[in-house]
Amino acid sequence: MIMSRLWSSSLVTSKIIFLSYVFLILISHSDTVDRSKFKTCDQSGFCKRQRNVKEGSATYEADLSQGTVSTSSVSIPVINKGNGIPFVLEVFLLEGLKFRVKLNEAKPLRPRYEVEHALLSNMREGKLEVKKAADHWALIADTNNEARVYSTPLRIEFYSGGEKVTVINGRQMLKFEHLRKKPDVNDEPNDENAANEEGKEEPEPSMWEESFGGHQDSKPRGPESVGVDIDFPFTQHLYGLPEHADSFLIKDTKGGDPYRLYNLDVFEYEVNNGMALYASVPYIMAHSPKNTVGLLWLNAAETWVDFDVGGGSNLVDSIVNLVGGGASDEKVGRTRWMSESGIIDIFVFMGPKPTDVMRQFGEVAGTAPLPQMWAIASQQCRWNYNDEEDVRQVDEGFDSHDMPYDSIWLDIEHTDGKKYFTWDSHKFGHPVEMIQNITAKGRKMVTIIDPHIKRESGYFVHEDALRDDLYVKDKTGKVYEGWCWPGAASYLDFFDPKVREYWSSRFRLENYPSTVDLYTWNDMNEPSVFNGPEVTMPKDLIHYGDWEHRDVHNLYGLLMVKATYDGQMLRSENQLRPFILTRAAYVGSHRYTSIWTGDNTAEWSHLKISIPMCLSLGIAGFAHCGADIGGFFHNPEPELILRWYQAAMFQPFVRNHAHIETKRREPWLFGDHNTALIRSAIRKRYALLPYWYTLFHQAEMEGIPPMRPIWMLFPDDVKTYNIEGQHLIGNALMVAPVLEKGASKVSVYLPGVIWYDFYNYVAYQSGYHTIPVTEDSIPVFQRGGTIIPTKQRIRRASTLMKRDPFTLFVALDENNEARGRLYIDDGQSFGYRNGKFLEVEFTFKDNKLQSRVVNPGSYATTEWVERVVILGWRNRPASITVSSKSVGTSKLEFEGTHPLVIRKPRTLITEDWEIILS
Amino acid sequence: MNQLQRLGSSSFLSINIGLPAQSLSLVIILSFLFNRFVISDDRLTPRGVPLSRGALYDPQKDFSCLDGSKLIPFSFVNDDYCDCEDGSDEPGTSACSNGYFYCLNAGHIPLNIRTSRVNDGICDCCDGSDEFDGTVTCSNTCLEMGRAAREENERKARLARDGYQKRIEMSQQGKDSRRSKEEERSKLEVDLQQAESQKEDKQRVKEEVEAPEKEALEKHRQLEEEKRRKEDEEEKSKSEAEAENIFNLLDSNEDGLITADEIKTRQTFDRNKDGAVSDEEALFFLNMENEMSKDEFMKTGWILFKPYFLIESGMFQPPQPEGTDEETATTQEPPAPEPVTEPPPLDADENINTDYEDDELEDSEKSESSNLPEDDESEDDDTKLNLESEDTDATRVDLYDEPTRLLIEAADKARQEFHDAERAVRDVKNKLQELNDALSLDLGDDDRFGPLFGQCFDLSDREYTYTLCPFQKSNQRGVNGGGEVHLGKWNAWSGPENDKYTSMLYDGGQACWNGPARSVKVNVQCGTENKILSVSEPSRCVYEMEFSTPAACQRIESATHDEL
Repeated sequence: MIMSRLWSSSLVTSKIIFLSYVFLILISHSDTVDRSKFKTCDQSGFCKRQRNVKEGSATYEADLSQGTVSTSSVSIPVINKGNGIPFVLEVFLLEGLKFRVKLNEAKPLRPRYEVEHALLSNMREGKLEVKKAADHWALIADTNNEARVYSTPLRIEFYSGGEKVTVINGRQMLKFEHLRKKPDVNDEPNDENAANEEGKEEPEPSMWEESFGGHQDSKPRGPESVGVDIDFPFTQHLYGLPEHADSFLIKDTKGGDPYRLYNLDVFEYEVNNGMALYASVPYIMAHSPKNTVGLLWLNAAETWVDFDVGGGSNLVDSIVNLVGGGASDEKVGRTRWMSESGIIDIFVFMGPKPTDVMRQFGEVAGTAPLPQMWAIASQQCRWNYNDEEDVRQVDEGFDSHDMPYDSIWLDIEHTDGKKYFTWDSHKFGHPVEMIQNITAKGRKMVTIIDPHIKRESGYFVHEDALRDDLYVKDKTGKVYEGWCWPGAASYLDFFDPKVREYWSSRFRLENYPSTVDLYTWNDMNEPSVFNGPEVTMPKDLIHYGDWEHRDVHNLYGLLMVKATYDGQMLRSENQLRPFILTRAAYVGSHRYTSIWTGDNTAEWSHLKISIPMCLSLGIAGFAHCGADIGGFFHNPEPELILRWYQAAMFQPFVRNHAHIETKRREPWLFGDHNTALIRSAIRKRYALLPYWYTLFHQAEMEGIPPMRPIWMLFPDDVKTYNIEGQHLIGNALMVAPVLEKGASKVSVYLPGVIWYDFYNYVAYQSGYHTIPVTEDSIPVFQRGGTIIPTKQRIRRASTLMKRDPFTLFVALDENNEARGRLYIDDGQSFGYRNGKFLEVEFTFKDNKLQSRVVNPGSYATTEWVERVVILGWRNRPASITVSSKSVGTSKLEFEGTHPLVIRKPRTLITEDWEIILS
Repeated sequence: MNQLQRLGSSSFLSINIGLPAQSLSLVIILSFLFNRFVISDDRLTPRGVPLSRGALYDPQKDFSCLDGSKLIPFSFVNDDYCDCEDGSDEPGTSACSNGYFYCLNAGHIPLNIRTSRVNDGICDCCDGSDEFDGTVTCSNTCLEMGRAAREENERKARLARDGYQKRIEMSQQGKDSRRSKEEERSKLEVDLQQAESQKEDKQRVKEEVEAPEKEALEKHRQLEEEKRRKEDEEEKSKSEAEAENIFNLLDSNEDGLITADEIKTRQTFDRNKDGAVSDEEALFFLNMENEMSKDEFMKTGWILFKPYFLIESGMFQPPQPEGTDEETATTQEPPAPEPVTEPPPLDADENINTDYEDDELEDSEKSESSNLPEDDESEDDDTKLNLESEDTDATRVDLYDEPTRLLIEAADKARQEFHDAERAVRDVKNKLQELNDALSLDLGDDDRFGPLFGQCFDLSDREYTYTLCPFQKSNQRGVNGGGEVHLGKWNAWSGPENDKYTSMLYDGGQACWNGPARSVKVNVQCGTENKILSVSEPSRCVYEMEFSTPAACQRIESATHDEL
């Protein structure tokens, strides 16, 4: 939701100055993003300075003789020979093959910002063995993994299985701008003085002030940027670095701008470029058949990253190199990371497999907690459902059209004049009753809560914030005032623990008229400031702890959702799992919130980009990611919204949402024919919810997202490395959505051995296939060797399917074997953290399907197995027998051979059982 | 099995049936089948099946799926596993996703609900029969709901009855209005014929009198032209004669040339008033030559000399700058006689004013200044302009001789009368068009919506007052002022094909910023009053209005026929 909202009716009466400002904005954008509102690297002083650094120019040396060693880390003095500035290098080993490298000034003029809140506080240390050589120290983690710190020039290399996988400052492009006093204007002509102060460094542009788009950045603390080259000598296949509307595989940036990480509210963003968007996670994975590493650049300031990974057209060449296994220089992935302030703090996750890296990342940044069941079903949103009657009618519309959905959302217009935690007393005068009417059918409600606070006397949040000093300040110490939806607004300083505590308390039921079934959507939390530089806060604002906004910008959204999360815990007295949807995010936000890809557009290209965007967010921890179905801006044609529904039902977070200027978009408004097709798509999602839920549990446990790149399962199949339009759900389902208008076929690559069309059971061998599609289908395949639990009784909402029986889909591999898992709990509480869950393992082997409860007896349920569908069975069995405690041993009815459908085993999911085919 | 225990459960007993006491064994069988079968009218039917279809489920035979797709053992009916593609084997469980469950709802209205709502923890049937697995206990609310529904039905029936009475009246009014419009139309058609023939007559008369007028005016014009030409010539020769006289006067030696010496003899040419005419002064008059021929003098010299002769003769005081007034005066046309005063209002004008003013005050105001009525139609403006210009000429009474003036007056009168006749035709045509438009409106079967045409209805909410003028337009006005926003004009009935008089579409309203042209869908429902009930804006600039009118009420046969 963004700036075009400005002409919403209630604002029309706002001040003329504002309107004319808005008008200027509106004139300046037409149908695409207005690039002039956002900086290029050249327009960002530090980026320009950092990008000017030449290979081999850095003059940093480590003094190994002065280094110290502890159990898990080393600390080595480093000096910049160029200007004599001293630094300290620390290298840590964390348990589970993770290295951390920190470089900071030894004696900074004042403290430099080190990121807080993003990572887990209880990272476990590893045990390090240090071997000292003349020119380097080898930091040995285990027989396969070590880091080496070279002294002259300073260089840090990482080895995995004998292969050099990562090198920091290998090209000597480290540039660490030390803090300094501002040169006295009178002294400026005096070169000698300047030289004494600055060493031999030349003064560079934009060090002490810069301006952009009419906004002045006073930069009182001067230049303090950091930048360094980090290379991956084993591959040019780098992935991630969300959030960009770009491919999953990172592109070369030579000749263009670097990828930018700076949380921004970008109006009508365009696809296929590296412009900054709402979220920033400075994390990539580097992958090859033999090794995979992850790299996290822990810095919350504005960050740009350059990639030298071979031009886009050379991708095929680099694959050829990979296939040939050649060690030629061509396959080196080179990167350079540049941040405006803070320190250099790098995590290297050593792998060696993609899932190892995911686990290692999760051990540092945490994992996405298991959502409530309803949250992974289908959600309905709009800017805006107008009033209680509108809500009632939409809710009823889903029932009368027999379409399941699990929550209805209210955008900003539900408030009293954009004052969050309030309700418009005319349109939403009975919130509790309204919510109860929704929840009576097992559904939930979500309201939007944004971080800008309306400056209106009498509004309790504003009054409290003024009284208790909760707002962000400008550089003179005055409360900062910007413009957002309410007009004049100030912004809570979530960096202050007392502000977070205050914010959390706002969610208490006594402070927010509602019920525990009301959840939260945090939007505009980049933060968006309509009249600020690049639509956000000025960098010289001051946050809690005397940090400049410059230092912490990308963390703002994280701290807001953290406080919201705690607020939801207060609401339910720690009983219910919170649900939050955020737009802005940083490393670690996924511990608190789900995410969507922001204000996309009703275009095929935006449907297409939703896949790489969520894959990218997925490997950065965001297990629960989705895009607005149909596209937020403009009106999708029926074919587009149909294809979008079909694709979105196989993405983690599912929500139909639209801009206030668009036509109504409830899924039954595209004609009876399309209504039936969309219904069928939604029902497929609901049938697969047990599988999705199991995967979300796995995401919490192992850090592996439900929506996965294909190479995560087939790491050594190089044909999967460039696939952007196809992805896995767990390890069992391959999805290849229709992403082109008027498509009658989809090209699909199937790795491994054998796959089955999940809906018509046609078997496919591995390789490239052209799959014909009709309007009611997108290609979805089950991998041979897997077992998928489903529920085929589709109810009005997922919560109503809780007691329904399972249908298992068993797809046999070439050895007539298969396995799968099922995870169940109550779908809403934290009971599972105390053992109140059930994990079941299914195995098909030797003509026998076995179900084994991994943790018996801890979760009570009457769920049972109503059907087993076996794919890949060759001969009609003579008889099929089931045995378990509850059913004893009895013969079962069955039909067909492929699929072979076994009728009603009736075994309880809580017991061990087996079915024998003979 | 736990079905046994449920035998004694209250829900079972609450189905109060006259079960014949003869067979205890039946009770026992029933108890096993309880979850799958229910008893109604002493008969065993599968749960979820209405009695009327009970015969399709015969326990003595295998069950044939109702779509004929499959034959299954009867024991598979309601066994909580979906065997039939059409869901017909599981009317009483949630096993099939496409089946229907029948609830009897004794005391209220029976209901077919989707089987996906069976045992989902939500009480959908008022008798609670859809939830029987013990997870939730549904209280039987059918009696209350039935009562409430009956009351509501009665209220609606009353409303419909009252409304229907009014509808009949409306329909009558609508038909009357149509009839009177049709009558008026026939009358106007006759009027039109008359007016047209009148117009033809007047045109003929006009042409007849315009011919001699044109001739006379032409003659007058020619005379005038001749007169002017003569005057010009006279003026010219007079001026030449004067020049020649002066030349002769100056050419004292009569050699046909004026020389400096000849000039010096005349004090008049002492331009600097130093008491003598110098050579320079003399040369000035001779265009810096020594002499000037008669031809040259006539062409250019006279202009230089003339003022000095005029001064000499005391006719002219020299102006501050070099005087040229005389020249200007001589080159200009003789001043036209001051335009004659505005012509006195013609008698015809008064007639026109009374004829055409009608109710339009504006017109009469304008016509006072122009002496002729104005109309909105440009065609009319042209006529008026023509008339005006002719009129202006014609009023120069002084210019024309008596016979011509009489001809003009006669022609003016004829023109005015023709104009009147023409206007009369147009007027009738307009009225006819209006009538035809009104008559072609679809005002519903029996013209029941007829009386709404020509009326407007308002509804104010917190922010806006909405206006609906049925079959015309819809508007919106801010409650706290601000301009009127046009929401749409009448397009058509937009209800479903078989029931099109249930909604109206007004579209082509004021366009929204960055959005569509506004439009309003008006849902028409039965009510005893004509009024707007509510207005909403489901998406930006797309409005929906609920409008109640007796015209939408239907005749109620016998009110609560199908209730139980």
